[in-house]
Amino acid sequence: MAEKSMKLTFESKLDCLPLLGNAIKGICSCVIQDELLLSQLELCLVEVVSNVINHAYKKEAGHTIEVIVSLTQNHATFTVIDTGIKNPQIFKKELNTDPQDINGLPESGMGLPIIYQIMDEVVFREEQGKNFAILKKKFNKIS
Amino acid sequence: MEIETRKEGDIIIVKPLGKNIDSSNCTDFKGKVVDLINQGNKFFVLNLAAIDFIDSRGLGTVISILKNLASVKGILVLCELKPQIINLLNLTNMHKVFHIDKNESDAIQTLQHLKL
Repeated sequence: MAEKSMKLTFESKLDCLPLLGNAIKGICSCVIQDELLLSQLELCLVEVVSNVINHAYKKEAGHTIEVIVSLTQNHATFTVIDTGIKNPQIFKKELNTDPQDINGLPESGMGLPIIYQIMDEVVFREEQGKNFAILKKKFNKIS
Repeated sequence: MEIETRKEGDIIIVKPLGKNIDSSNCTDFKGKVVDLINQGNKFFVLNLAAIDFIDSRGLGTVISILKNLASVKGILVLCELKPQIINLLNLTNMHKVFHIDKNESDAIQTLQHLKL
């Protein structure tokens, strides 16, 4: 199957997140039958876009977010584009938790470690005033 | 977010009725549960049968509820988790933190044992 792409464009509002998640699952279900993988991809995209809304756009509505979904039979690429503030924090890849220390458990900051665990490749870059988050996942075609 | 509650003795069973616990509703959800804790409830079963999706902020909210309960020597047991929710807990190592049961009756039984 040749690569096929679709672009989703929506406003920076948190109540778009469930719609985005369902859209991602629906689009990817064209080539992915694994329900758990579909849920994981939904989770990753919601995490990225949630970060864009909360950090890049400071929870302000009225800004534009673009998500480009590109699919082949065994490869998915998601590109999230925003024009907000680039997150100045160093991106944490790993989640360090001590299950015995309840008070020390994280209540935030788990999104990026989750994304890095699920996705095969994660790239953040800035280009001409736009921020790009590019997530790639390989999967096997179930025939 | 709408929740359903019922009591069995001093155990309160809370069942969120929406499909998601995420950035869009986690604050509201936490507020409702904290109100129940502030009313003196300490032993909670959180039935997630209706929940198809939790993101990291939703999970952070459940962790916050756990911490709230721990501060009043309360206990939280989760039940009826769908596979994708269990997967989230595994990805974040939180499956080692929470008491998790298959169904409400098992969760209530677990709570009764933990209370002793």
